[in-house]
Amino acid sequence: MLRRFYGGLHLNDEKGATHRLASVRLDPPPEQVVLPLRMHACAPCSPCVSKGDRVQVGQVVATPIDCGTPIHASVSGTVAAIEPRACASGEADLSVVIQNDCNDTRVPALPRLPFYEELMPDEIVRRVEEAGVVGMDNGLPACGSIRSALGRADTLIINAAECEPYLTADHRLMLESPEAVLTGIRILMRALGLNRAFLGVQGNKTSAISVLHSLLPLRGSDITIKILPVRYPQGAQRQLVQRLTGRLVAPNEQPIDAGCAVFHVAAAAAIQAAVVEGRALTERIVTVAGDGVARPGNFLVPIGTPAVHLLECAGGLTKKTARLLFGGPMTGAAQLDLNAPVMKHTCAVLALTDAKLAPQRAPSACIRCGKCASVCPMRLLPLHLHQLAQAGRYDALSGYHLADCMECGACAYLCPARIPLTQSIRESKARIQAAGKEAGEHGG
Amino acid sequence: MAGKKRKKIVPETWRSLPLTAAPAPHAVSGVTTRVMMGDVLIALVPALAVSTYFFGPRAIALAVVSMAAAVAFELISRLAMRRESTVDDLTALVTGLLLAMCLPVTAPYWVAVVGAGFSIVVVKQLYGGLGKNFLNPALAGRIFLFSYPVVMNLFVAPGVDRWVDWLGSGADAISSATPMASLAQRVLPLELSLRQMLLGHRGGSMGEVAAFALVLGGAYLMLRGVIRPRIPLCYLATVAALTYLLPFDNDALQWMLYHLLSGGLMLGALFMATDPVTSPVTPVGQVLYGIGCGGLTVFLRYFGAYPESVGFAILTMNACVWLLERVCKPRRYGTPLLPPLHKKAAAKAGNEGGDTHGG
Repeated sequence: MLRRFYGGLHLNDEKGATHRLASVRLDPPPEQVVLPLRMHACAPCSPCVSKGDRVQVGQVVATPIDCGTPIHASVSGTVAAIEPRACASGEADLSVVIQNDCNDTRVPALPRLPFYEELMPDEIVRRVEEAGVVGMDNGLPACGSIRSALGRADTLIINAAECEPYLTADHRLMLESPEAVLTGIRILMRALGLNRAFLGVQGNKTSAISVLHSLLPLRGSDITIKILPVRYPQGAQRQLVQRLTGRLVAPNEQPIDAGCAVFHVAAAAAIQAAVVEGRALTERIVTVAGDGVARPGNFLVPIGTPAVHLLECAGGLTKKTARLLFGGPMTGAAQLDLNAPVMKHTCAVLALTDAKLAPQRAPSACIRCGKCASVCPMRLLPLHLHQLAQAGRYDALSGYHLADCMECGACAYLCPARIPLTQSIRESKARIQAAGKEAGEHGG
Repeated sequence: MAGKKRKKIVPETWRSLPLTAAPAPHAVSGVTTRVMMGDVLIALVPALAVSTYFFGPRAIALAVVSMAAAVAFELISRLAMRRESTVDDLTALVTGLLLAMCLPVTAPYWVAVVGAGFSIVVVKQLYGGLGKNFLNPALAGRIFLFSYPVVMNLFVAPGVDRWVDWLGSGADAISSATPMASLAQRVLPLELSLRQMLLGHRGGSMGEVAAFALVLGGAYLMLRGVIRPRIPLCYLATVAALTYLLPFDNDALQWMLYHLLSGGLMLGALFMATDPVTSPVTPVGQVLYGIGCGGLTVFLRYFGAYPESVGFAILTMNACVWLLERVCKPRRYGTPLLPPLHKKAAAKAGNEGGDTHGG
């Protein structure tokens, strides 16, 4: 029980359709890319180009206002418009729309820096910031993560778990660019002043593990590959830290407060591209999968490609497709407008038919089977959280640690009564937050 | 996908797709309440089969009557309360079968119907239906049937040549002692070997006789994830420990084994105490619940008025579940069991000399 994380469930990983398919470029390339200014989990960037400007790949089109990183053009062409466009959030966000001229002209890259070992940490952070690198699973700027970890981290953990079903983007990245991944990890070690790093990979990525092992010395390696059990949600930060180091990061703290700096493996590769090759973050590997897709695969996609173009390159959708997701089936966001663009942290576009989806039926009565409690990685009691919310007792929810929930969806997945537990928790959180705001306004 | 033509949706026509939006998670496991209840029914089949082998087709007939009555009462009571029917989640069938398992095979059919009526209507539906009752319906029905002591206490000896007549009231069967009656006198029922106890060749209610069949059923449920081993293990371990330690001048090991195999203990520990609605949800709560059930069972068996006490023990613990759940909540994630020593010392040092920086 030591060092394993609590709860968790074993999901059918559904990666068989795509984990052997090498990532390919989009053919034909997208006609337009849509770059939403609200790309990162910060205030929206402000555009620094205007309609009609010619841009090249890697050119800055939007600069951050107070925190965040720049957004770069992912294709060369002309800025067609700066207007609200449908986005993955479901709303129309102000975006820079670039008409692709398919020439793929790039800005001259920053000078190559192959000797990253001699760089100072702030130089590394500056390059990472200028290249627009984010944590590729959550949209937070990587420069901010590195800065907050400076001097406080004693362990570097690279998250290559990819625990959600269907997703194979990180697996392909490790198979196709293993040296870039390892170099990126070493750059992070240099920036944080550490000489050891752990790369956590789930055991179902055997080919990637063997490729990485072949590039590392047998003994005394600076990067240790740790094989993780195939349990969901092993890739969640707290669970990863608990599994690899045994440390429990309290719910109101971040992993860095426990001395662990956690970075995503695709972010490490992007950091290598930024620091060594001077390339900005303009493309990423996206898995297109699900039983609604005609030809599932992994694609190397320019940021901002509309989902409809991506799906067309994957052979189109079947008529029975009932849901389109950005992300995995456990935490992904359903999309109704297929013009929504791929963002920097979009790891998959999934098309699912009704056979694979939760049925849209009224839930039956809770039989208190306790499966939700036994599966919760944060040791919560979702059945009580739901019951109290149903009874309107929102005041009692803090006693059951409602705020600790990371909305992984494991409880709702298992519930035999098909109660939407995760959604109930989300609604309770929103209600409590709204009530807190109101109380603050009235009292203050 | 050779031979399977998929109609492609080209970009212009994607708006014709029946896309739905719902909050995450979008995937769901295939196990529903109905599947779990189906598993419980399957797990009880071996015990019912052994009972039929020893007591005749009346066992099946009684089980069928009980299940049918339970379903009928559920339909009628839901109708009377103007709520939608919940019969297809199979929980009424399970209650009916479990109640039948607690009856002696000679019980008249009306006893099964009355018991099923009490279980479903009073214990379950009047408290709010599935998930809202605080007592195990089948056990509460069985205890209610203590109101009819004569018909409920007619136990017969098992035997393929002595099957109880399945038509008629069963009142003319020849009664015989059960091992539980011997144990209540603090004497080992040595006329029955342990092997006979295990295989079911002894008197008792329909569901109690075949310990091995019940264990098979319990193992099936654990494999399927319908029940967890915590409660049965704690329950049986407590009974084993207490009976081993207090054998009343009998051989301790034999006393313990006879106690474990006789009466409704196996049925209670594997099927009744593990009823999800009336048992705690938290791990520590479940352990305490199992220990409590075991302790009460042994106490009542030794000092109580009735020879069999599993039902009373479990129902009493059912009434305590609300307290167990409130007291035994899991520790918050990240909270250690004891504060780590070095943090305590650092806090002390910080308190003593902490005017240099704000901490």
